[in-house]
Amino acid sequence: MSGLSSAIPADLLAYSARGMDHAAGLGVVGKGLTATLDALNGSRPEPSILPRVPALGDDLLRLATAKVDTDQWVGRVGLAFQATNAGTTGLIATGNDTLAAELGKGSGILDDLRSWSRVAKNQWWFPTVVATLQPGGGLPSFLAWLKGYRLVEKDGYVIAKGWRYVFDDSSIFQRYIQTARLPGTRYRLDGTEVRPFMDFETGFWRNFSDGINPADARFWKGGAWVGWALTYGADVFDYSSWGDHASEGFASKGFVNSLAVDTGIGAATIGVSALASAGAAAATGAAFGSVVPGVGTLAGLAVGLGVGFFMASPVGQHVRTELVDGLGSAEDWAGHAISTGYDDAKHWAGSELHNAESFFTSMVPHIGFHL
Amino acid sequence: MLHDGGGPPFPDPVRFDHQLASAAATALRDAVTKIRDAMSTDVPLGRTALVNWRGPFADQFRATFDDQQQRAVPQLIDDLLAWAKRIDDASAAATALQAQHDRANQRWREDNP
Repeated sequence: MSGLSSAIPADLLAYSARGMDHAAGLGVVGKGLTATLDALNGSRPEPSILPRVPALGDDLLRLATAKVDTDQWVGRVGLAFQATNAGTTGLIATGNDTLAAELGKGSGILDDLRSWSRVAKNQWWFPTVVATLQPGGGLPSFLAWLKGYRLVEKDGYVIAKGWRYVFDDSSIFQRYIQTARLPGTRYRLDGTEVRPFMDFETGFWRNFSDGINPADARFWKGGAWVGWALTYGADVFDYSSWGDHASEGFASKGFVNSLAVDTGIGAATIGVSALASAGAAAATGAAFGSVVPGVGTLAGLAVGLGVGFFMASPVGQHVRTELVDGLGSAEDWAGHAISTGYDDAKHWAGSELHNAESFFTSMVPHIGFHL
Repeated sequence: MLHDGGGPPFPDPVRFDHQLASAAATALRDAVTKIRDAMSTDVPLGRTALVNWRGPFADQFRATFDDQQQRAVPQLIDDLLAWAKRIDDASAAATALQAQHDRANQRWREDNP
């Protein structure tokens, strides 16, 4: 393949990043459409009135899949141009052979990294798995409860009952379960050792702090930092020279909005997980007459796993993209309102609200379908 | 369906779920909106990319891009809109047919008090 090729890599990368986001969104719409049309066909309408509707959702999905492949390839060509002239911005000219060689070389690790960065964000199941499995965590606490260990409230104190004698069996499994025991047998009800187990609000704030507060030792011990590091790391990679949004860069509004949206998703997930955890602890406490340690952590794990799988799914990734785009629109709207006055902004807001309504109307059946 | 027994001529309602039909027509039109929204950004970006892009890879992309924009996407949009209209028409036809059946049933009841 002799001869020369030329391009402005930033243009190729800009097309590729937007195109792949949109193609993923169209794929989600296609799946939702398939479900809706299947439901209509399944109701077997009178054939003389309405024949079977063809699989148009599948057609849309095929278009989206082809578009993803093409748009991803354009991005790889853009990066190959960049690689042949490192440090050069603007128009780049290079030999076709050099470009083809670069394109073949770059498809491996970089593609893997880009795929990884798309699913690494918002993996909030990891901290909850750590919190469940670690010594003193949810699983050993629950197993200790099964062996008869109880925290019972009595006369303003919490009494630890049952299975009090350590090392009655020195197996590794037994020692693991024993990590859940509190060192003492009697604590004041408002003491920091037991209050998070006994009081819903305290339990919630403690779980929430574990997930978001770097000044809290449990933030590091429980693994929440890994969730944040993966999320922010993937965002940084996306906007670096090798990522899907290389053409936008770190100074872009998209990068700031991605960080803001992912911070919001993380805090919301940790909040819901903390609510589930404290709620489950309170509910089981009320049901059994004593605290059931570990159940709260297991409930938090279920929420973390659910959100993690959802955010890694095409629907979750589409929702995140729409949130980032929506935040950009909201910022544009705010700027527009200030610069052109209230009346213009009100008119514009009406159309934005209509778009938002259309988005949510279209998303609801798709989310239901995927779950 | 005419009834051969002693009852009204159309004892069964016309088989057509208006709610599902309405949801399907809306989903088809929403899909068109989504495609048009996506293309309103992607087409200008694709054209911008092609302005300075030269060489065999550019030719390969141009052929795919043009086929997508000039054939695949318009064809799919036409199909989606045509079926949305067809479902709306079917819904109206089902309503009219049901009314016709109801009138026939009513006449039968009046003739067979």
